[in-house]
Amino acid sequence: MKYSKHIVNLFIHLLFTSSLLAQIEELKYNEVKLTDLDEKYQEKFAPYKDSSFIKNPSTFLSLGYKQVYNGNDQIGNYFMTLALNHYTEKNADLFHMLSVQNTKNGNYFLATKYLDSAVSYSKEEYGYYGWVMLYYYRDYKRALKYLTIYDSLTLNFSDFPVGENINMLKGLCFLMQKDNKNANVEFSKYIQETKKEKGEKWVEVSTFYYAGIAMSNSGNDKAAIDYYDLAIKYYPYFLEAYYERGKCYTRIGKKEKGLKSLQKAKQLFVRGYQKKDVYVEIFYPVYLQDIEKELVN
Amino acid sequence: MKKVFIFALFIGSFTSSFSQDSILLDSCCRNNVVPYYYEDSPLLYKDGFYALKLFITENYTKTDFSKISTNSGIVVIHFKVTCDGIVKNIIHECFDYDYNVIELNSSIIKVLEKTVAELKNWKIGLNEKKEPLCYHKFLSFKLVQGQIIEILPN
Repeated sequence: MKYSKHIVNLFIHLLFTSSLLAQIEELKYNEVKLTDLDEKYQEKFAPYKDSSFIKNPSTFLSLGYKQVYNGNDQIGNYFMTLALNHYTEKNADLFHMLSVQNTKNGNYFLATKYLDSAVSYSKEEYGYYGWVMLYYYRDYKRALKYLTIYDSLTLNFSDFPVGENINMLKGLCFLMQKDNKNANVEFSKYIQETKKEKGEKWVEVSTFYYAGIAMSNSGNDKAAIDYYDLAIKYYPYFLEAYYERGKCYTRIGKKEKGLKSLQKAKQLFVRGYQKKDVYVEIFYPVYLQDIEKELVN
Repeated sequence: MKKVFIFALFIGSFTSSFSQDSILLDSCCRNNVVPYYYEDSPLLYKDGFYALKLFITENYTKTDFSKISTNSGIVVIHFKVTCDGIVKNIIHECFDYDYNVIELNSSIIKVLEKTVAELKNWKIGLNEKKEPLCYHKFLSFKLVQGQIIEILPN
């Protein structure tokens, strides 16, 4: 029973990565021989030496990927490198796949080495590379550089690397480098375009929050409040927007409104509405300690 | 679909047959280790990232590293959180800001490793049967002139 559950989990895991594997399956390769493996692993694979799975490097790619997922970085990367060395033909998807788990595990050298290779095969990979640099590495200069390259590939079209609007992502890069003016140029571009094409409610709601932060940072609290109002309008549980709006109100002398907004932020925090991500911390996070500090002031 | 299933069976037969990288592991970490982003419920510090950052920075700033050479770069501390929520199997790697592997001053590493080991309030990982699980996690410290400027990922 325990074993079958394990297999089902693996099955799901492999299905999840199968879109990447599908692009890799087509690549030409030299068959893996038992003697290509380190001696300490040969015994394990010996019973399967004639199996087609063993001969195909994608087996070792998947095996390595799963090992790194389980935190076994050294063995996992050994198998992935073994697979890589057997492909006589390589593409961006192969290097992309090699980088993913290494990024998630903080293996920065390997992950960036593979992403450098991925972009050398396809400039399209700059979208993902920029996105990863922004969220996972918090390397805003590089993120902006890569996202700009990606954006330049299709000049008359708004791209969505990893499902997020390119201008919103570039805006975040500027915001995190404290370039509030350019951050707002990018955020506004995305907001206006979306409003015109589909309507304001289709704007990714965090954009209003970040545009508000850029305005607050520039000393324009009134404009910031307008953005926070929009964030709250489209997501009434946006405690971070309530918190920042509360601070703005207090700064412009509307203390009662400020207090109300901060109290609402605290209520929502206690109810578990803090914005979270499984992998990384969100930009401009708000903690209960921050709210309480503002309430005391 | 059939091919993927057979492939899963094949990979599955090997998955738990490789021991974890280090021999210093707690017994619960020997067989099944999951990542910190396991399923829908991330395995994070119970008091929140705010408390984690505060604990680390308070401990770290007790020593002045500003005058030590080789003190700018990224220190990544990898570790496992055992079934009892204890930090074990700490290893580190250092990078420059171009992500090349470098060495940073050993006294900085020592303090960071000691501080991470002292983080006592990790969420206990549980499987579907509510049995405790071991998970792997990392913390990344960006340093400039010996000062921590950022802690990642969360």
